[in-house]
Amino acid sequence: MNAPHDPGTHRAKLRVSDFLLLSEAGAFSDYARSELIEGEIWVVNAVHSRHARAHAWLTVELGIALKAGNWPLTLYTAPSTALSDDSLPEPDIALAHCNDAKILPGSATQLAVEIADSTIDIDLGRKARLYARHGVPEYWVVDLERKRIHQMWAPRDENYAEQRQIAFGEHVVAATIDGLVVVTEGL
Amino acid sequence: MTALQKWDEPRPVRLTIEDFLHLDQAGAFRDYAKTELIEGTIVAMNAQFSMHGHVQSLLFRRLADAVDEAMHGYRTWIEVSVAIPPADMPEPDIVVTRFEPSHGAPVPVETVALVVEVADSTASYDRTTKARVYAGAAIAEYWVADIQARSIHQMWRPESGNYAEHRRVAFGERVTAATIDSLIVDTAGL
Repeated sequence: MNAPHDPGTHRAKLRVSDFLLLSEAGAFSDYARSELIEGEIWVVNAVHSRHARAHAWLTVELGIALKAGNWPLTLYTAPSTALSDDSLPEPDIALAHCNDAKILPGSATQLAVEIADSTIDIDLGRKARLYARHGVPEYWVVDLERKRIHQMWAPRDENYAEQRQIAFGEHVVAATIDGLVVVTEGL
Repeated sequence: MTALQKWDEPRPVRLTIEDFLHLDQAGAFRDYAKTELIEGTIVAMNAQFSMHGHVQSLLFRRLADAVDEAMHGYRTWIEVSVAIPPADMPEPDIVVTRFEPSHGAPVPVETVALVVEVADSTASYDRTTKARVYAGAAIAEYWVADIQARSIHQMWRPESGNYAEHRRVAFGERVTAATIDSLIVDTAGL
């Protein structure tokens, strides 16, 4: 955390309703992405091409994999996902039970995927704790730097009890979606 | 300016006064004793206790009397929001301003002659972050009444985000404003 905290003051926590109010007022229109994480708003104003390419590529592959089966799941790109009253993250990709609520509820999400280039520490740390705490069954972090995918499942309290790493080039076999396999050669 | 830079690692958002007012109107800060927008971040203050109240009230009474006598057209107000566009809206403990009160309007920073913060646990915050905000907005003079150090840190001559001049006056002595003629505040009893 980078907030300078002195006794007597603290950063005020915002709620999802506050975040949406600001969003509708255009407060985030200059940013490429904005998320509310445990009451704090985080933004980025650029998406680098490496990230965008991996994002697009994996979205296509997940879509192909999903079409091969009969799961009651829908592919979402960067859905704002309401996990709790103070957290509205925007995973790069999600597979979720189809839901057309204005904001996708976290309870509909089966798999959340984050593509990480500069954000690996956040995605493996704070984000993993957040998704685990709110019971998202499976979570993948695509580590562009080290060319591997961190696959996590079985959320318990603040963490995922199970995890494995898959090098780019190998197949990722979903742990919680029976039979879903994604190729990663092009990442 | 950050507006021209492009970054792809998440950063805490820098909110504007407009964002802050939207949230305030929607009741987002109902749970807090006091909130300020400081350098784009919403900062909540803890409850204030009796020593803070004592120092703030006594200083206010002495300062208000001195301002009425020495500064024609100026008013002394307690805990009023001061608008410092684009990303600051502090609520100083005491403000000396020539602004005409107006419904729904915060105090425009260019009307402010002197700001006072009373610090119980927040002295380092008030002397660093707050000083940077007030100096950056060219407020001519700023005092921090530091309860633990039992002294008033008096700062003036804002230059590139800092006060170039400062001195310390112990509680009980007289504070003579550095930038306002004949404004003298007796702090006996603090």
